Order: sequence, then structure tokens, then C-alpha cells
Amino acid sequence: MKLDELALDALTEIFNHGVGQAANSLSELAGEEVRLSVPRVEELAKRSIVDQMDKRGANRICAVRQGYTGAISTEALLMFPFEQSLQLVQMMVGDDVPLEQLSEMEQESLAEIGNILLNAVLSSVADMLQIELEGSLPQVELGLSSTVLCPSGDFDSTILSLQINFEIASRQIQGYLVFLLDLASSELLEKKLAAFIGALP
Amino acid sequence: MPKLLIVDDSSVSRMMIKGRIANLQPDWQVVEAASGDAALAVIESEAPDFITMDVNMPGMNGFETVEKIRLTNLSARIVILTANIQESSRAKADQLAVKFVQKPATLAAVQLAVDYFLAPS
Repeated sequence: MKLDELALDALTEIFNHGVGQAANSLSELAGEEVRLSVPRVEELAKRSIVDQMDKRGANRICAVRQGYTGAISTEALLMFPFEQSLQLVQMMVGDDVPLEQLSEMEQESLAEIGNILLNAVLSSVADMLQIELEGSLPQVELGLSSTVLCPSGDFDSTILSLQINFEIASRQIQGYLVFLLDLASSELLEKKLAAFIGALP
Repeated sequence: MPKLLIVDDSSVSRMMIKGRIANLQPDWQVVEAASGDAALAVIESEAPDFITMDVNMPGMNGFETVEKIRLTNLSARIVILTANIQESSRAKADQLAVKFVQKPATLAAVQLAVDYFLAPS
């Protein structure tokens, strides 16, 4: 797939809207503003994403993975630096839950945060492209970014990547959303993007 | 005493909803189910007045569970409380004549559910 500049721009805008919805949900949970970077939509090798994560000092991460099927197939990953996971859990369940209980709830809390954020983005994308997507149950993974992003070692496979960084300043939480679009879905995605662009005033 | 059934596969999510309900309606009795199948069993034994229903769950999803509930129970008021906020999900909730509320289960979101439960029919 080689999306032209206009199509990439449209895709960025569509994801931008979705990420705005997700940020709103996260902000409701955090009780404060969530700062977002401009989304970056690129076609690149998985190795490049791993390198980018490593450069940010996030080589050990906790991630929530959710697969989506329907008109297009995509895998969505919400990733945080490993050491921030308990802060996220605390944000979710409240500050008065003791630390030992937090650890017990870590996986469940991360799964639910991922479920809320990833669904907010994908729901918005589905609505804007007028398609329906069905999500799998969220899975929490902890490990090296290379293992999480490339479980089968396929570092050189090209994917359509959308990355957004977000930050909750007072809790010192930074996260990364990555959507890995199955290139087999590319033809339909291109058609849907063309329709979206064609319908613009 | 009104009885609420919370159906959600995430224990954290159930905990959040339960906590909000304790804040908003401290006299309500709360029962829980972690799946659609478990919900059907709890409904038979506990006959809740109100139900919050997640959508994305292992086994039967929330919409399928509501369809099954309605075969035998027409009176319980049901709120779909989900992160799946696609238009198609909202449309399914409309078809099933149940209220749709978007996650996260903040106090405001749970208040919307409570308002629906307590609204005059």
C-alpha cells in the first residue's frame, strides 16, 4: 500500500479525532488535562517503531493489545513505560487503595484502561469511515518493546503505524498508542479514505 | 430496597461502578456477574430491578445477553455501560430499547445510569 499525501493526511485527521475522544476519557479518569502530541501516520518497518520506543527510554513496557476485525483488520497497542503501570492503576481505582492491593489489580486495571482508550479511538475511526469494527478482549503484556511489537520476530514487515504520545503532567505518566494496520485491509482502507475525502465539502 | 446487577468481565470496572453506586444510592443492594451466562443465573435467583451491562465480554456479549434477558424479564431497567461507543453499538442499544452510557464509569456516567433507572416510566 502506498497512501498518497492527501490520504495520509485524512487518516491522521480521522485518528486525531479518535484520539481526542480517548484523551477525553483518560482526562475523566485522571481528573486533569491530558496533553497529546500530533498523531504521526507512517508506513514503516516494525523495527523502526521498536527503535523509536528505545530512543524514548521505553524499552521495557507494559502494553494492552486489542485486535479489531470487520471491514479492516487492525491491532491496537497502548503502551506505557513499565515503571508507570502502578500509577495508572492508582489513577483508575483511586488514591485510597493500599499499594499491595494495587498490585493484585494491576493487570485488570490496565486491561480496562486499554479497553476504554483503544475503543474510544477505534469507535471514532469506525464511525468516520462508516464501517463497523469488532474488538477482541484486551490482553495485557509486559516486556521488551521488541517482544511486544514483534512477537514472531518479524522486524522487517511493513505496517501502517499511527503513533500518538500523551502525557498526564502531575502524575508523570506518558503513554504511546500504536495501531498496526493489516496491509491485507489496505485496499478497502484506501477506498474508504477516498470516500471520506470525496465527501468533504 | 432496590437491587442493581452489575455485569462486567472486569473486576476493576465492577468495583468502580459499585463504588459510585455506594456514593449515589447507599441503600441499594448490589449484585455482580462477570459474564452474560452468569448474569442470566443471577437474574433468576436475585431478580434485580436494574442492570448495568458491559458489551465486550467473553462468551455472550452484552447485547446478546440483553436479548436473552428480555425473553423472560421485561421489567428490569437496563443500561449498556461500555467503551464500545461506535454508532452501531448505540443503534443496537436503541433497537433493544435500553439506555446507552459511555465508559469510563465516572461518577457522572453512573449518575446518568441512575437517572435512567429512577425515571418515571
